[in-house]
Amino acid sequence: MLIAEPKTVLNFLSDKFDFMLALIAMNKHDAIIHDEKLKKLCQKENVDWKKLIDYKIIRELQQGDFELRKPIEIFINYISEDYKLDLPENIRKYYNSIEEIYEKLLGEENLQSLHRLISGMIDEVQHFIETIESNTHSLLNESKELKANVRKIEYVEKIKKATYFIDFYIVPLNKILDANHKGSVIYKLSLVRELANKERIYHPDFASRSLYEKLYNQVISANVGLVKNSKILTKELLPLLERIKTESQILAGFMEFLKKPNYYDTPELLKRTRHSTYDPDAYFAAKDIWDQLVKQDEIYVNTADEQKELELPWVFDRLKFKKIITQSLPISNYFLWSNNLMKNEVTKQDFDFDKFFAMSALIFDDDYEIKFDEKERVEVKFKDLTLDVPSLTVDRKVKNKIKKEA
Amino acid sequence: MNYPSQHQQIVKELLDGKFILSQSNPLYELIKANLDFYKDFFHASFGYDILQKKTYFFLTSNESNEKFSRDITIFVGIVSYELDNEGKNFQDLIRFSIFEYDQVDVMVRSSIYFNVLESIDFGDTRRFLSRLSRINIIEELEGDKFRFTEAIDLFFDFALTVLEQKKEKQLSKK
Repeated sequence: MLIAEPKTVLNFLSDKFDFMLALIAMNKHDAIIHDEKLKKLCQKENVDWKKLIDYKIIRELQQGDFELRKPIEIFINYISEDYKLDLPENIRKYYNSIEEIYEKLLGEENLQSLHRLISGMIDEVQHFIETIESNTHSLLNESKELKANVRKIEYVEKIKKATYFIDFYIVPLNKILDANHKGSVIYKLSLVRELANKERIYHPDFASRSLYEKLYNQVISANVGLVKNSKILTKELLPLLERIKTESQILAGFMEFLKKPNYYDTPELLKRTRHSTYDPDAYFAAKDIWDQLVKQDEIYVNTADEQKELELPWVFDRLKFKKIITQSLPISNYFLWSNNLMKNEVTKQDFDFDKFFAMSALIFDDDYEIKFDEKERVEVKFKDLTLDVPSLTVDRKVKNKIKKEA
Repeated sequence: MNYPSQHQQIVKELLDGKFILSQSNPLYELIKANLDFYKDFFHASFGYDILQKKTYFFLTSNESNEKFSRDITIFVGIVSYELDNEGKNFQDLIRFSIFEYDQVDVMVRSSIYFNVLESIDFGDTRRFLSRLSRINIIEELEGDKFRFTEAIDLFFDFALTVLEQKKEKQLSKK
């Protein structure tokens, strides 16, 4: 029995609406209202907590804590459009109740009972559609909140939550609303609609016809609402949650990568090469080379002359001479030595100017150490000129010596 | 031997490291029609692999010192994070919207992850973006604007594999 007047209770709810929202949030969070928390909140908002019991807003539990009364919770949530998600099982129960009433309607002959059953069916359909609407609304809010990430939760947590909403609510809700599935509530409602449509015209009792008419309109309107909600679920909510899930997965991956950017192998791209396969002049360059190969002038060797041995052009073999130098170390008076080498031991040709420079360049490698005395000079003679050069002593560099000794 | 038409252009663009995109590059269809040939051609001639994704082709060289890919991934990761942080659908924005150079410059420089970009010698945003443009990851537009191309999906897919690898690692620890 309500101790206070209904108007007094409504005035209280209106005056203390923010307090009521805080109370509902507390109840939602902890499933009950802890005594200590309630009294703290009441003190803060200047509310006498005993009034909450008098106005049938809360109920005291045995252990001293409290719980919010359901009608109050539903009412406040309804007007503030803050719905709690129902379990899919709680929604699926309408299938059984609608089916049960439907079966009874088919065989009921007593008019009073029939009227009661039709009214019951109207109530049940109304509850069902309101439950679906509040759940869809609630899921949409939850999803949008998840997208905006108001609570700044981690991406991995977002993935879990989005997956949970999809698997636990949206997929079962879709099954409930699937008109092609015989076990769905919406299929059962189509049977009710058919019955109501027939009976609103043919039932002999006027009152029954009127009630069937009301039921028919109720089911038609429910159907429109369910289709609308089903579309929200499949076309808006599911893609939104899938996107939250994928985006969160991508972001979680990026965040992990940015933590350790050198740990993961990134996609393999092509390391660009500098040379181009297709040089614009490639055709002409290739043609030149090809022409030389295919149109090579024939070489005739006149063996009738006294010249019996064909002299091939001299090519400086750098490696070969370097090897000889290395083997002959230490070498004193290098230029004289190389002059003799070229004349007598290797080429049997004159030591001309080009060969002089080729041989000179060899000793400037890092492997050698060169010493010379400014006063001691030597003349190297060529066909057309004589060079006055220092007398060089070439030896292994110290580090190489040490290595060799070691 | 008959080569596919525009063979020279196809080889040049792919060797330049470009992504050949289905939406904007007619070469895409030519490669698609001669995919087996190009797979053999690049593998035998250069040791490269031609990869086909949903909407683009590109070459990979499998060289460990290829650093640009890492730089791009860091950049895309930061842009994605910052857009999400602003409460936006970063995937849709990156895929379908137009960005201004200055906007992106401010975004990455004020990011909490900017130190990661600095570690790769990111330098000038405009210069970096122009490198992305050279290989068709972005398309430069008039008025200091650009848009990302579908090649960006390669880096989104990579982020998903990172998460998978992390999960596998966590599972193996258990």
